[in-house]
Amino acid sequence: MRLNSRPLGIPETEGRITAPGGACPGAIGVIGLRIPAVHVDSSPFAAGSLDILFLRVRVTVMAKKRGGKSGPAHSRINAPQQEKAVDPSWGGPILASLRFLGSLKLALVLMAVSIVVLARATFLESERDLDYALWFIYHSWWFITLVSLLAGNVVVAMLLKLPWKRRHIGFLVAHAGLLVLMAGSFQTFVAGIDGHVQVVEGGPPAESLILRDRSQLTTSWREGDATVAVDFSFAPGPADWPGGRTKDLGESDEIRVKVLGLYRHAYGTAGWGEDPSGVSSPVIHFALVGADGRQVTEKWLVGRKTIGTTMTVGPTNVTLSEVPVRSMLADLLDPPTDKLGAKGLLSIHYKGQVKQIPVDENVGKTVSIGDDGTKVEIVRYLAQPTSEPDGTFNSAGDEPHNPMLDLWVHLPNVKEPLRQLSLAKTPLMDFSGSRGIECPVKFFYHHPAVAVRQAVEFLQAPDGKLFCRVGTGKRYESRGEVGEGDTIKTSSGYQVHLLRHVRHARRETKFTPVKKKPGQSAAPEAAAHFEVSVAGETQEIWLQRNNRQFGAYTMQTPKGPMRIDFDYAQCPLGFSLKLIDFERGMNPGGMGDATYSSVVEIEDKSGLTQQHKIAMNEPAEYGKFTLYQSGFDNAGDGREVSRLRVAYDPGRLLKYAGCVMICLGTFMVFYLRGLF
Amino acid sequence: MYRSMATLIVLLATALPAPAAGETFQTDAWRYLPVLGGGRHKPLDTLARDSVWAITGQTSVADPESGQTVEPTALYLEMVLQRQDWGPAADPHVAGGLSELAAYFASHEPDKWDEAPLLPVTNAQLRKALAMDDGQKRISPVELCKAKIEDPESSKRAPFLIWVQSVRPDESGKFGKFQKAARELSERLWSYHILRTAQGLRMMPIRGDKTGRWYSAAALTRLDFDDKSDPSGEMRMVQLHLRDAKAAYLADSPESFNEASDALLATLRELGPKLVDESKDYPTPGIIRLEVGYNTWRPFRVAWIFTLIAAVGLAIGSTNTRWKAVSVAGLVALAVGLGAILIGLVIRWVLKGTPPVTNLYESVVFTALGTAAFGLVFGLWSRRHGILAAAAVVTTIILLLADFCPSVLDPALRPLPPVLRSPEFLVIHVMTIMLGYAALALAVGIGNVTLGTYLLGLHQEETIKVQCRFTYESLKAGVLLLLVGTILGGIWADFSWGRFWGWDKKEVWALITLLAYLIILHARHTNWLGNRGMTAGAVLCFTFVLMAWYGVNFLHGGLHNYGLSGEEGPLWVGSACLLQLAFVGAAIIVSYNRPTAKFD
Repeated sequence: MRLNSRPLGIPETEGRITAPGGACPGAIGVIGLRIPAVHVDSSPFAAGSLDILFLRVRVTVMAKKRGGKSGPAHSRINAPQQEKAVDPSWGGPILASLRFLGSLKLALVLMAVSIVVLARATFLESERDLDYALWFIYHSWWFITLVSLLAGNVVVAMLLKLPWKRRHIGFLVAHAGLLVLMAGSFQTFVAGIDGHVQVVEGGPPAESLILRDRSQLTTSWREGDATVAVDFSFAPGPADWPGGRTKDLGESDEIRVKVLGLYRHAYGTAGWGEDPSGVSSPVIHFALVGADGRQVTEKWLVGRKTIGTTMTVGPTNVTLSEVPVRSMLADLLDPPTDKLGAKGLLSIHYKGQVKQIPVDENVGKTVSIGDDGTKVEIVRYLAQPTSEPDGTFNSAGDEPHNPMLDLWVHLPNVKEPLRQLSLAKTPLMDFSGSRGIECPVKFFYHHPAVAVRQAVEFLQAPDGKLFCRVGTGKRYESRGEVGEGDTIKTSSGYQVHLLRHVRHARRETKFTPVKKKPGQSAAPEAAAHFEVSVAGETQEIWLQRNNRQFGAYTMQTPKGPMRIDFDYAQCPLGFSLKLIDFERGMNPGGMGDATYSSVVEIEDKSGLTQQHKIAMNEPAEYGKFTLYQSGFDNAGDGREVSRLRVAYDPGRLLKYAGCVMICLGTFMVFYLRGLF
Repeated sequence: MYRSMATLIVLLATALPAPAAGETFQTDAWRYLPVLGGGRHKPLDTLARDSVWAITGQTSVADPESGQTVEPTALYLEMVLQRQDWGPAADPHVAGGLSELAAYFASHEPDKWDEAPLLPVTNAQLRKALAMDDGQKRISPVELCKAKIEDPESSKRAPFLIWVQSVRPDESGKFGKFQKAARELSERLWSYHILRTAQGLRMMPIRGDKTGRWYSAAALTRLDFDDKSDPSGEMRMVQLHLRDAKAAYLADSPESFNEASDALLATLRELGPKLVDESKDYPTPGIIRLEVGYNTWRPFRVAWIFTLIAAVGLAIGSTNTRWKAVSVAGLVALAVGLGAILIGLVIRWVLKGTPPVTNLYESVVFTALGTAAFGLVFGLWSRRHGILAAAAVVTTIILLLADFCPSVLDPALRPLPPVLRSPEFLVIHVMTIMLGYAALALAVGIGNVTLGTYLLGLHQEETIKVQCRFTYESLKAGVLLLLVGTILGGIWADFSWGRFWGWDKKEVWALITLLAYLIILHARHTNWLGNRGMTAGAVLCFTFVLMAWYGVNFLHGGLHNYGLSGEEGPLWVGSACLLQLAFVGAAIIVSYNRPTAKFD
């Protein structure tokens, strides 16, 4: 027989006060009465030395419950709620709903719901990735609502315990700690910065950190000597945007950016599309088909302004040129062949009018064209032009070899005559732009010594219509206007099949969305469809994030050429960081890495530098940021690249305080009940 | 402290009857030879055991001729020394490719080891592709070298050694089961090759090497030292003795072998510490002896034998109050078991240099320690057989798992990855969590004892109430430790990686576990759960612990794509959980239909 007492519901051997909660309103039925109880111990270990363990005398007071269940001693925390339930002053629907909001039942339901949601989220993370789970669950409005409800529940539950007593301390500390932890986490969520920098040993310093979960579109253009840049940043999310979802990134400096669509992972293939500004050159896509009807090849051909482009495909040449004026088409499609003198024939195009002048009798003479006094002077004829170092031309001989005419154009209101050159072999070559003044008079020089090439020549008129002529080696045959789907027969039996014609082409990348497999590390980057408007000019472009080939685009705008870059969002560090040295410590025998560390030099705005060592588990602090060693890479040239995580966590103090409170409070609730 | 312990173990080891000297090959001293392997220094004894495991997937191998199990170091030496040719290696520090192996058999007759079925082929598809008989579960090295495999995709037959080098992971960087099994098999063959050609026996440090590399026996015999590279001549002595030992072994001359090996080991003992670079260590004889002792005595096996005895003793003692001696013996056995676990963990701590909670195996053993400790405290506090027996049973089960699932719970001592090298935080964090798991495991044990005695009708109401109370105590301790441990984990992550909470799967499942137990504690608190509900909850909620501890590891890259060796693991764990659920369900159903007994 020993004097003993047991906590926690062992009614047979303990004294017990029954507080009939329902029938005793307002009564403090549960208080810290200490009642020793007699306990008969039948354990075989009756060793006296163990007695110390049994000397604790605990309070055991049971609250009588529905169904007569006996609960543990500290069900007294619950008891005041029951008291209040019958207190007439605690009435009204507001209080009733408050009591519901602060009820343990709600808390348990919320916790159970959280378990289901969290478990689902981890499975979602396995199927997709963490970004996906973060976006659709952990950082979603409804999950934050769920957590807020739990927080609200805790707040109301604490308030319902008013006026607080000593015995509430543990409960209050633990639950207030939970709220403080949540507040700290929220602060981190809202105001925290978490990114990384990548620095090469001996390479350029890093000025800003890269944020993985945000992207930005940077528009930059020259203004005087300076480059002006405007950033538009947004969170793209972890998945393809559903059709129709757009995001307006706002307007700044007359630039407005809208995201029209996004693929999380996409493969880009380069192609051509219509340039709405209408200034770029044409592009054709054609197939070469052999005499047997089998396709030989398929090519894109980009026409260049003023001289055109020639591509040798199989046995034939395909050229694409732009004709500067409509009237010049006749020179190409139906070239004069019989009237050419020894020095050829010059077609002069001015304001839609054509004047054909035999060169033989007009060298050194001035010809008047049009009604406004515009004159053309044929200064020299060069049979074999060679350019001299001083910029002048001479003729190497009299045998015509790409003969050239040196011309002066006298414009009515211009003092100085405009110098122009016309070459018979490349008649479309226009030197007009090289003097800075566009010459309104255009020339086409026909010369009998220039051989007819074997070629399929596509000619785009100024209105965008495409014409074609075929050189047979003897003469040119006009094929008139051609369009997509047309087939042009060459003299050698091959056929050129015109698949696509873009009047004014710009590079356009087609993106095909791809699905990332779980665990796949090297999935392609995201691609987004943007609408960029600059001072009323609007263009739609597709760009791939952080991609050298498809990540940038230059748009012609009223501000001048504007470069557009799509990349991860960046955040200025406020200092520059240089990697001095990166080290890898090995296990004995060179088996696996034991440690890695970086020595970095940080230079602040005032130019002061200081060195820091950052190693695994040894972060460095600078300013508001903490820098952690997170990984390494190889620059490819033997230099090492260190990857540092850079984080700013404003909620850290609150989180830590909350954690301490939770642990302390729980400990008090569990083990220090007797002291309060 | 460990030195005295090591001495004790060595004394015990040397007290064993020594075989008659002079007539047999003495390999016992070789067990204590310090070698380098797997990124750490260890005795040859450990290397031999690891190699046997790496090659055969078993802890011991029988001699193919005599059929007798051979001691690992003797086996290792036999396999190394019996080989005529230690192979051509252009660079003495780098091993050649698998083709080296195929070339060997082109010019050499296979010996008994080459022809022994050592390498396990567990995958049935792979057995078929290698045209093995269905009953044949193992393949010999020479067979595998000459084997042709039928590619499951192209159905073309190609030499296995060539084919296996072309196996590539899929887009997500993972291998299919078949490919994984094939690669595993080639790795086993590779381990065999490394062993046989003495390239794995790295026995002498390279003088002053900054990266801490050691010469293998193969390299040692090939190297030419001169007075400049070996001023004292000791390295040449090592070479000489090694060649002598090998020659003596091949000549089947035990006397000269024993003489040469004694000289070799003595020279290495002297020379080793002098060769290593200042920044590196040479293992002390004490450490080496300690590790050999650990390998020999296997403290965790000793521990489960004792806890098993404790469980039986306490169960018997509980049936009759007069059999006090049996109960006391059980209690003592439990305490001895606890001590054995503690000793084992301390030895691992000393050997690794980091506290023994850094891999799954150690965490499991540490949990066993916690369960035994909590069980002893609660058992002595409550003075109930049931609680002590529950602790003994749970500890035994945990230790058995650790001892018999080496493919999942790898007992090998390995160096830590860099991210885990933050001893203070990591250790406190993991230890707290593991103690929490231990308390919760004890709650499962006590809960099951309660349910079991109730189901069998052996219960006394009073006993059930006490057991429920201590289930509750265990839950409290477990939840508090889990809470603190999870928070410490957050602090560790914040300190090391710069984030307190990153919604990592492991973190989220720790949170889920906490929430589940908190629901039970809150519900118990308001009496929505009685003793019965709480017991059921305490038992069933451990499923969450298993998920957070073990299941999460399978939660990446889809549920089907996990490690080959642990393939059946989740199935077994899942079945155990279902069985537990059925048991709880049965108890609850019975309790509703048993109007007289009070258990609610």
